[in-house]
Amino acid sequence: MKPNSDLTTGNAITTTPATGMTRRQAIITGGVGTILAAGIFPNLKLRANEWSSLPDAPRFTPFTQPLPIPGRLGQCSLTPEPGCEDARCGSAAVYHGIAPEFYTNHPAHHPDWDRMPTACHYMEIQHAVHQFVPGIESPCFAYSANGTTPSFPGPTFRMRHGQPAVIRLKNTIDLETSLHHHGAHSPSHSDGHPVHYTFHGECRDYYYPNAAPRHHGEQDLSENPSTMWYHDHGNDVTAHNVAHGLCGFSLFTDSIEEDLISRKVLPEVDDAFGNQGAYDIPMAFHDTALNPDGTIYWDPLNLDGRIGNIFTTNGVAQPYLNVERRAYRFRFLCANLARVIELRLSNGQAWLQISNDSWLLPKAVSVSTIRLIPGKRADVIVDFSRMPEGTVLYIENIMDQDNGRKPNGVDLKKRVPFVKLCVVGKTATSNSLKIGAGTPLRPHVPITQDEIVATRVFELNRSNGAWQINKEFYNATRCDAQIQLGTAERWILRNNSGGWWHPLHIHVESHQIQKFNGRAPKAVWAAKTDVSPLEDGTEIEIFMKFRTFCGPFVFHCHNNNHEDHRMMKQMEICGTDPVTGLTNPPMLNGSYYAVDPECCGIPQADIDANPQLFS
Amino acid sequence: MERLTLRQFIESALGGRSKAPAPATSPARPTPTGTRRVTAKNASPFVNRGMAVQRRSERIPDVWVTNQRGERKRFRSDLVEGRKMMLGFIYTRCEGICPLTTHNMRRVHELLEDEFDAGLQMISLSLDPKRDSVKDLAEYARQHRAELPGWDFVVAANEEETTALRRAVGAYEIDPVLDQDITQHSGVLIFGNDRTDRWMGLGAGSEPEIIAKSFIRTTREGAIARLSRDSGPGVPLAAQKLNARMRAKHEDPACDAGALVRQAVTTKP
Repeated sequence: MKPNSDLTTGNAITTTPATGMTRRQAIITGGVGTILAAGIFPNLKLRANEWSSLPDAPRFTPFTQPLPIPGRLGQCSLTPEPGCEDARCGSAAVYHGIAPEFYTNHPAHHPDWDRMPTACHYMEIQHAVHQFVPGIESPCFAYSANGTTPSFPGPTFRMRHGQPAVIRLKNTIDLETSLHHHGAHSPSHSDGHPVHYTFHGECRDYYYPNAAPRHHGEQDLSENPSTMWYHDHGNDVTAHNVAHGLCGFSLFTDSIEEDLISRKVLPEVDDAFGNQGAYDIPMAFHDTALNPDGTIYWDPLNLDGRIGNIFTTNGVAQPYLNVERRAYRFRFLCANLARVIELRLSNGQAWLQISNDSWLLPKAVSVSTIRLIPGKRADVIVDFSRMPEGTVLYIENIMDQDNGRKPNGVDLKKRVPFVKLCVVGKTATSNSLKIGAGTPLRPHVPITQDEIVATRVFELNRSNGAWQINKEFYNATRCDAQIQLGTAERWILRNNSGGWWHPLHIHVESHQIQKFNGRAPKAVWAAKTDVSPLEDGTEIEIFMKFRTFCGPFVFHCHNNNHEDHRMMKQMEICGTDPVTGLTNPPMLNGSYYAVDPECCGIPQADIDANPQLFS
Repeated sequence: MERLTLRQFIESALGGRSKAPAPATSPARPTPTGTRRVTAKNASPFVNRGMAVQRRSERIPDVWVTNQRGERKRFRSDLVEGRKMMLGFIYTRCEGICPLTTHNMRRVHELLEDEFDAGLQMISLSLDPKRDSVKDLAEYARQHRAELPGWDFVVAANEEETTALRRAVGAYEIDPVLDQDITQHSGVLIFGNDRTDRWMGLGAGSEPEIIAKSFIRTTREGAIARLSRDSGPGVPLAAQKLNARMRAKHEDPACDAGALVRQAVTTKP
């Protein structure tokens, strides 16, 4: 197999280095819209589509910057301690307190959660500048480990099953924020609900029990995650905040995954220093665009979805990565706001996909390409041992898209290389990982028909340019689904929005796709997922369980621009604890905030005279 | 190209990251790729740096429009620049969403009455300049009880300029056939603060309280200050009144929700 030549030379068409497409090509694909519009309104320079309205990407030489690996969020001690009197809701130190589930006398708090001591962390959201393209500084926001080390992507969380974690987050920017731990099983107060804000100068203690939900009284280890991520989720500002740098990885292991690592099915997640393992590489793909002065291009009135023309991986535009002649685990994350990407290796080699979103698959599956919708993760194993030293190959995106509505389709002629992989080292290590297609990974415990207690239908709509679900806009004081704690439901998700694609994300637990347009899903989609692709005219039927935590959670389209424009719904998990009899009554139009003050994250009564100001 | 082993590369990358961040002033020479903290106020992405980047409002054409009182104004300089603005789209012959849009805008007007003293401008832009005359707009405003201060029903000179206006604020369809169909016009309420250059669009069919709250949050100037019991200077008067109304509604003993709430609170251990 001969190595590919560098893709910036040898092309017949002149390209700007950051893209695979000329502006003329872009306008032609914009097509009918431009021609019609230009004919009727000849004096106006109308935008054909989002792509042609983006500012030109700055010229730079790709593949000269190494792929950065984000550092870890280390442990520290927190003063005052989480949950103590001085850190309760309304306190000066931690205005938003900690989730009520943190306290051992809360009915949801299981003794299993306290087997290991709580790992404490401190993180700030700061104003920062970041270089997506070398030499150009772009003002942005950044998550900062310990308040001292801002980075984009933010510091990687390292979570372990059975070890509860508290992250004290301080907001030093002047925008409202809410940290969502995507793919995690967290209490409502810590889940990053859009109106559980942390405002300027305030702290919130996010509590992650890192516990598996229970199935027939036992821990359901099938629900333990691997690759999660975290990002901002503030109401009406999610897209803006994510576009300006607020996202990062979160890696979780449990006994099942550690066993796979010890048997060399998967590589070590950590190295000897507690940093990211050498052969386990997280890659966050994020397309962005920059104004001529280097600021991040942002249009707050783009309700369709922002796509970009600078393709970054781990915050750097088109980096390179030196790889040894052995097998690697790559953790792909699509942190795009709206762009759908489909990844292949430039030499045509298949990927060995081992996970879908947070969950390892029941068995590794060989796939030729991987389609990532916004919010999705997929881990793959790539073996470089049979490639000679000096081989150069690329992780390429072959999905063409020029507006936030939906991709145009796979087009190899318009492929864009994201990461250049350079094989280095004379010695090859074959069998560095004992994994191949069909290797068992994490056993799946399916949700069965007899567990289902209710069916709900959610239809995604577009009404006069505005996004809706079931013809309603998101309202944080309205409950759209009251769900009994501990039960399973069947949801039918329909996309009837006139040609747009929507990646639908549901918080709190994974969901299981039963039918994709009436047919059984393919192998990688048949177990667990948390972001499902609702393509134009698609209907997906899912089963989902709602365990452990009561309170409001949301589900929404993960095209961040749609999400901000209220394409979201709220579910409230309610239940009666059989032991204490404590009931969490349903929300009913705003009364929720008065029900459990510490649960909602906004203090009540004595502390805050206007509790619903910012909902 | 230098050949590092992956371990060396990672160690150097991590080693670089743990150094103290560079000082806030930008150095003359290029800095290595990475992120660093800045504490200067003008680093906020919401305040553009006044260099090559346009304020969002600068993309709005400054065409002449006439309001329901026959007054001629320039759309951008008179109605948008330097102030808070809320814009909805109507045409007087609409049998679809316009009545609801206008109704909701009227309720939002009530909720935001104090904002008008600070120069909030509400605009209903007619999408039908061929047929909507100034008299039609005046009659429409009267019928919908929308003859309120600070709210202009405007019409531009022709279709071309109307289309340019709405496209400039993002109200257009990618599908050109749909874009030309006036009955499918945008039902998005666009609002923002030109001084902070922060903008937002919400479906006009949302509850007026939700629109008003998002307006207050989006257009505020400065950080949100947490309130003291007496509702200090950090909270706009409009917001305080809005909350008082919502609290009164929810504390109504006749409302089932209120009763449930009180019952739940007393059973909490």
